[in-house]
Amino acid sequence: MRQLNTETPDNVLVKRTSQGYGNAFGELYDRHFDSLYRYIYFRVSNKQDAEDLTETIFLRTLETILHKKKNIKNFRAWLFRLAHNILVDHYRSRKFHADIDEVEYLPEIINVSGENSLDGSDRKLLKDAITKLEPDLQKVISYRFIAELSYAETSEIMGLKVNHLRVLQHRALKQLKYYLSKDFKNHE
Amino acid sequence: MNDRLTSVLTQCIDGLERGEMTLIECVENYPEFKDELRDLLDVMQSIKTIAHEPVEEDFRWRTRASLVNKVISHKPASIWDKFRLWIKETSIFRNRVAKVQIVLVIALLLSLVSGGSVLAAENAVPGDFLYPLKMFVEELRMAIIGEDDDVELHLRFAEKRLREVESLAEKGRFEGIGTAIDRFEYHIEGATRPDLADKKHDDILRDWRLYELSETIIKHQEVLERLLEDEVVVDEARAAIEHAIEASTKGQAKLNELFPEGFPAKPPIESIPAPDIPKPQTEPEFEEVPGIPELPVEIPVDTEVTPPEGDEGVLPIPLPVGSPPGRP
Repeated sequence: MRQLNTETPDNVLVKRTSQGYGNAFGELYDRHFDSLYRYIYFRVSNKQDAEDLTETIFLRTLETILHKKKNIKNFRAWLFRLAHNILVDHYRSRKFHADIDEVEYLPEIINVSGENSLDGSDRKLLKDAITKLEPDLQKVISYRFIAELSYAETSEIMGLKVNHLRVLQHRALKQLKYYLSKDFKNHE
Repeated sequence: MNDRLTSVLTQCIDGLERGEMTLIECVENYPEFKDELRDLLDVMQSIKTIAHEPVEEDFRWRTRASLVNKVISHKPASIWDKFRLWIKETSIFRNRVAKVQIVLVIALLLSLVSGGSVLAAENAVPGDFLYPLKMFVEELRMAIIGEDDDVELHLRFAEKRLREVESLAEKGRFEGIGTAIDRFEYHIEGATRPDLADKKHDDILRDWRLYELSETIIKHQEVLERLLEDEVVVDEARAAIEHAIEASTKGQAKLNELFPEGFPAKPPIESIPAPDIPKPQTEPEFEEVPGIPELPVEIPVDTEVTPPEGDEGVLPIPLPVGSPPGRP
């Protein structure tokens, strides 16, 4: 069996998976599980749904690799595009929103549990603020800071140029800063 | 939007993500944007903080193990599987009439091109020159025929493979038995594929077909066991036959799994719905033709029959005396 290391590119691991090497897919899973799970959990705000969806996404990925022998150049971008499509299906099935465009927005149900530096109310405020952003800005925040995708990966998923993405990233942070400011709270 | 600030913000975010600088260092590097930069980077770090949700380790490793096992147990698709997938995904083959027409056209073309080799290949056994052609035609049929018929074709071809095994054993060509057994196993697996379990159990015709499938598998096992008892069979072929018995036993077990509450009993023949035969039209009534007298209902017994005029002189033909020629 060939040895795999952290230097092995994703597309090589995809190729080896299609040849029946289980440890190649194991490596892909290990590399992308955390960021994918974070992204999904952030979008659905429900642990059970997040687990089910993460499993579904990896399963669909595996089926595509094994059966369609698809040549995936940028695996990470491809994985998150698939994740986005599966999330859209999930929202449709749950009837969160009737309009597909509205699926881009985060659901109103916010999970405020967690153990980190922000307390529950701060977390809720921040998530509430993110839901107020336009769909594209929400996407930038999700991909860049939740899933921790690179500019290149995010721009490929969103079909934007990197420079445009940087501007959107700036705008998103600026708007969030405003939504979290006292001025906005007083205005509300 | 301030382009300069966008650029500075990007540099700071990149530096923070790579761990090359801290937030304070970044802010100090760009005093002209000090306040705004700190606020924006604070927001970014807060988002990163809420993103870190704990994952159930049990879920993580269970899912990983299941996916890795799927890769390991996955059989790579053969060229035929790919061909069949292509056929399935091609819209023209979804029409049943079109399918039949295509099969006929391909068969005709093959017959023309190969000069009847297809027909000659029908009796070929593994090791024969024309055997690959026979396999090609069979795969072509299975690729084009729909899934329901596929099971029946698998059954039919499994029986053919068994006949080939018998033929090879009779001829003492044991080296080809392994190939035929492999194909036999493939067809048995195809005929007992798990999606049969999704079909309706109350469908009488389906039960009938499954009953026949079970009978066929038993019949195959009997033939294989009979071959195994033959002392002429060499060890290599013996191993292949034993493997085939094992494969068909597995096939039978799969059928039992499809019906955990008991295998469907052989349905009574009268319960099979009769084909829809159109009723014959009612016979047309004869019209009376004018000028033809009606026949008398009863002819009186004592009526004297007189020959028609001109026949009085005709004598009956005498019968020959003795035996006909050639007989004693």
